[in-house]
Amino acid sequence: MIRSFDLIEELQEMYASHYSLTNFITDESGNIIMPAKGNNALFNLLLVRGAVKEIIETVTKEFELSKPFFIDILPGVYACIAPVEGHPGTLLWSGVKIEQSSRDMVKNKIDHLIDGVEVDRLLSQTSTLTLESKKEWLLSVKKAANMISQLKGGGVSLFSEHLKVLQEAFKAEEGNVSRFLYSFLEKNSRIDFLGICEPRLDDFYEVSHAAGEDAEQIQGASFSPGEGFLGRVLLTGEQAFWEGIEKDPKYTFFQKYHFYPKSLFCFPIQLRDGTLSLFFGGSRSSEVNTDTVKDSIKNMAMLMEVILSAESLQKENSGHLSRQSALADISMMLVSAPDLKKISYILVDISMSLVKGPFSAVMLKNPQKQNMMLVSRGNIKGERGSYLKRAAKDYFTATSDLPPDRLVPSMKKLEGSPAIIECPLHFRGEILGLICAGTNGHPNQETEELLPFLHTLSLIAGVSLQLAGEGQENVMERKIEILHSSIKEFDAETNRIAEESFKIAREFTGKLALSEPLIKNILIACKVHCFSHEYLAEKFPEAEFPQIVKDGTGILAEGSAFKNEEPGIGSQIFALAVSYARNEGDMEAIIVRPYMKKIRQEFLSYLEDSQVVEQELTLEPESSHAMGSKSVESTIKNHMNLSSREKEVLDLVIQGLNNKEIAQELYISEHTVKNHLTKIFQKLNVPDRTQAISKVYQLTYNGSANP
Amino acid sequence: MKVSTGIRGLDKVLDGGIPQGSAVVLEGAPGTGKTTLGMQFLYKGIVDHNEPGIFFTFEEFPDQIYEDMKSYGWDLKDLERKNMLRVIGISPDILLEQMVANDGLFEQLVREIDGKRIVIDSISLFEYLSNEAGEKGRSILYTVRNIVRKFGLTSLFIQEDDNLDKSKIPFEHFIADGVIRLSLKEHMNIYRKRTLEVTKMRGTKIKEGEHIYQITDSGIYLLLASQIVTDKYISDNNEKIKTGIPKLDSLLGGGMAKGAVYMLDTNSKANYRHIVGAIYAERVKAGNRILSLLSSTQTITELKALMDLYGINIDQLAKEKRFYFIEHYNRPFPAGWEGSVFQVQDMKNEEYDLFLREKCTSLIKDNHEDWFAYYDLSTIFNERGAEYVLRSFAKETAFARSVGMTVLVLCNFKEVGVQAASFLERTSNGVFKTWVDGSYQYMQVTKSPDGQISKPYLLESIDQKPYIRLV
Amino acid sequence: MVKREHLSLEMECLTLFQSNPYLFETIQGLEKRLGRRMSDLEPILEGLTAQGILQKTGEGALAYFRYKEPAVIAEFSFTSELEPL
Ligand SMILES: Nc1ncnc2c1ncn2[C@@H]1O[C@H](COP(=O)(O)OP(=O)(O)O)[C@@H](O)[C@H]1O
Ligand SMILES: [Mg+2]
Repeated sequence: MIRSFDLIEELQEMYASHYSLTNFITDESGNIIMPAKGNNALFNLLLVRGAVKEIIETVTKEFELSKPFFIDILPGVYACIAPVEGHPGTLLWSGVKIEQSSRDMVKNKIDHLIDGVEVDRLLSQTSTLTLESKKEWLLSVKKAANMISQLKGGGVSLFSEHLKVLQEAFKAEEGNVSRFLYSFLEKNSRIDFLGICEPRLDDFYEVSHAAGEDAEQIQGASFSPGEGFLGRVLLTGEQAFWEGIEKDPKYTFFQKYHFYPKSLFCFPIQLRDGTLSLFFGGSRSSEVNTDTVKDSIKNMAMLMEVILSAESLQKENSGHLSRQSALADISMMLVSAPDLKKISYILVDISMSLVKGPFSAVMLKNPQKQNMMLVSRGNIKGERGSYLKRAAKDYFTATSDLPPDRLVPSMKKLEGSPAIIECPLHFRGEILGLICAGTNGHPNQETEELLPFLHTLSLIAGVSLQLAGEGQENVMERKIEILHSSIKEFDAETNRIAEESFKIAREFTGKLALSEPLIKNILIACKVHCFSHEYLAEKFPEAEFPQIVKDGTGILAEGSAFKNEEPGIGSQIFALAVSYARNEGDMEAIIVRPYMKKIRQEFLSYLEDSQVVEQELTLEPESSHAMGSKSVESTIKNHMNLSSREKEVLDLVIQGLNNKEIAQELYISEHTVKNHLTKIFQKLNVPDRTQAISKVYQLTYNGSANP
Repeated sequence: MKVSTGIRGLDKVLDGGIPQGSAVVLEGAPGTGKTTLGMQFLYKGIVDHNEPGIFFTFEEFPDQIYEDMKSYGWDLKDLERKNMLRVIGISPDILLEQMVANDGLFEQLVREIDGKRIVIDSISLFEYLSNEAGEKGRSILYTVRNIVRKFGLTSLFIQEDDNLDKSKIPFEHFIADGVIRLSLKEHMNIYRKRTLEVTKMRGTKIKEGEHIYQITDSGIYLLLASQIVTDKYISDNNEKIKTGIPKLDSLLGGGMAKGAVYMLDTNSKANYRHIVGAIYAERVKAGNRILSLLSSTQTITELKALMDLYGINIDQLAKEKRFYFIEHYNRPFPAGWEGSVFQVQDMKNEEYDLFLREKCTSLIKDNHEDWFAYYDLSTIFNERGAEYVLRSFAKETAFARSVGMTVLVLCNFKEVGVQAASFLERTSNGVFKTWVDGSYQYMQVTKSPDGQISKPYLLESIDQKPYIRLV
Repeated sequence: MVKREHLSLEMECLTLFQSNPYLFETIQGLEKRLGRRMSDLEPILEGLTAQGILQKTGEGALAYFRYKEPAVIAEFSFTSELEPL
């Protein structure tokens, strides 16, 4: 779990100081779980005087929030409340602002309610709620709530929740899949239906499981590949997310069954026998799949894959070991194992104690390097060692995907010595590791019976390994992204430096022969350069970039001497990049340090080279571009039969923004952007974006719409 | 040789620490923080003094302890990886057996990491090794103590407080070289007070008494009973002034509101000089001009000494006309201060009123700078009577607000009576209270313009400016 | 043949020792800590010891068990020449 309270607090502080609003967080029972931060005197006063308590209760009890909204604490005095996604009932409160027209009334009211307060001053310190500020406020609270949601959940805990479900499921005899679907639904408030489609004998597919309110409507619905949204995924074989789907012609599939989703996702799942199933779901209330929802959907899909595979396995081997509750215990153990090493300990011990042979070894492939981690019990010297090497080489260096029959545990019969069980660990066809367990003799029934058990184990181990590998990265990256986005929100100049140093460091390091991890650490350091290294080291104790920030900041600080050791190359590049960004690209101003002559020279010549290229590229268009965009703008403004909103949208299209960016820019939904675009295309009589852009240019430069 | 306990306050109580090689009993009821203190002793020993340690736990699993101690930011697993720490889960009988055995597990463990400190959590369980607790338990503990001494280990034996017969001194206290006792008491019916007392420690002098401690995010923090606010005349003129009282500022959401009137309510025992001194210093540093009403007890010399402590040259300020004084007692003042001291001892109340309204107003309005006033209301009560105060105080505060002058008013609410006190409290924008209870001084914000109220904080005297700190 | 009860208790013991590498415990102590019968625990602990997963020290009632870490080679190259380990 992430210890993220302090990050949340920090976020609250930043939000508070940036917007002069006081904010706090309540939980599903209306308790304040993160105390108020901020200097909004009126809100603080109201809070202390208990004027907000009842409102918190009401809102918590009686409102079911899925979107941010305003509430009047007193008539004319507004707070904005946003639900923290993924944490039902958790709310972020931010306040207060006053409606201009209500100021007098508010003054009287407060005068009346509370003694000894200088109402005028209090009110004059409180900002006014205007129509424009309303929108901005909503958006800012929503963003903050989003960040908090990410900090709180981090996706990771949600995932372990899911794995608990997995454990439960293995204990149950029947109906795993449906149980899963329902348990997923329970844990994800933003998704309200889920289902599975499986192939029938006649090449059609049908919805074999459906969970959620009214979802039984589509239970048993059948379709052919290519038909509707789901059929499309069968053709492309790729996961898909759709938003605002009512207008799409493919929607008729759902209408037919009187089922009306607003957003939808669908994942193809390949089973062991090569057949494809579909995992789908979505929301009937929310039009969008937010990033948090997407993350958790992806995890769900991964687990669903394991579940479906395990289920089909169990069908084949019913009555065997694999149904035993021990498997559930093991899966739990794997789930709570935090790292690769721990997982391999568990696997080596389990395989050893199951097979009870002379040795067992777990080999985990190291994707970066041509080697692996080997964890073993028993004697693996001599012949056995050579065998392990051969086996690893065999599995790990295969150039193409291994055929499905190589992905299952098998008995390896060796000349003159007892058989060995080989159990590959994989996820989605990619080999992650291998268990080799020596047996005591020739294959017999007893050892054969272990294979299905090991197979199921390998499925769970595969997904655990995948997640342990990814998980650590993910948690860190997510935390960094949040830190970074908090800068973005609240400090434009620092953000500029972060982005520019990041950009130049990325380009520059690309030219140098540095290891991937080092480059990654340099880039992260640039992103979070403004945080103190102590803070970073505390938050990311395992990571290396805090050291880079530390030394790099040392380099940047004049006069800080590195007596014995030179700072690492990473810190030097970091210092160069940040210095470059701070001085807004002024090459003269880039720091000079005696121990950095060489790398600085390389950096400078890199800058020179790239500038030449840039200049070459921009020389000609620069002047015309400046002119051009002006006249393009005026073309749009003056010559086109578009509504003012459509003009705005078109203008942004020309500027190269994609729909999502346009939506953000104009504070409208992506769906609305698409609507505008459809109209624009109609009015301009063009089929698509590219044609629309070209038409505007033609109008601008040729004064004609015809090529 | 003393071994630091890892808790600064406790080291002071123990005059430097626990004598090396001692076996000390640490007793207390469940939840008082024994495990925490024990682990802090080992953790700090490793981190600060490079002394490896071993923690024996009889009831808890080691992984539970790793998890619990994360709440103080202690990464025990990491120390284990570095072979500086072992958290050993073991049964008391095995430990005992392995302690007496030749080259037993205990000896191996100590040797393996070159252990210097150990903690046993808890020795209470030794008693259950035999049915007839008394004698057997005593001899077991005796054996254990001798063995750890033999290895030269400084040890803490944690003892669960069974709350039984308190009239008898438990045998552990005789056998041990020292006894540290933790307790949890109700305090003023609001806050639970945790206290630590050292009742025995061979080979060192101890500061007696019950010392308050808190369990914080970074472990146990102990505050010495003698550490209440005391006067300090340390003059370091050259040093620059930093801030007022940081914690107070944060309680006030950043500081006092400009143009607001704050009341500092003190009881007679409380020492408020450093509170006032710190605020003065901060105001001067911020470039404020100061208007100060001198009290009967606060002479100019005394004020000068106080300000010296904060590195402020009041003489200079007076000469530069940045520091003005209202004087009721016709006491002499240094040469060059003429224009800065208003002698009001002969003024009748109406005249004084007029003086405030005209003389002070024009003074403040003519200098377009921010002003800060310190107003000793007790003096006005004494010299001009309660009636005058009740009649004019509201006007005076309104005046201060109108010119944007921040005012700190000193008053003793107990002395002026309930009615006057409640009037004053209502009229002020903010109220800080400071009082002495037992051997501690407290401070609390009971009113502030933005409605924030704090819990009571302990006022601790510290060595550097501002010489006080809220904890 | 692996028995159901046996297997899950075996896994429970495994987890316990894995997450507490510095746990030194007798069968009796484990009986208390895990709330399991000594007679069930004994064959499992002996079995794990036989496989080298646990290490048993001492005899009789005071014999204690502890976890024995597997051998780890962190960066094992499998592409190099196939000389035996
Ligand atoms: N970070 C923290 N801040 C404040 N209190 C804490 C913190 N972490 C734990 N505590 C509290 O410290 C107390 C001390 O626990 P512990 O040391 O186990 O006491 P004991 O061993 O005496 O039973 C517990 O009641 C716990 O709630
Ligand atoms: Mg304890």
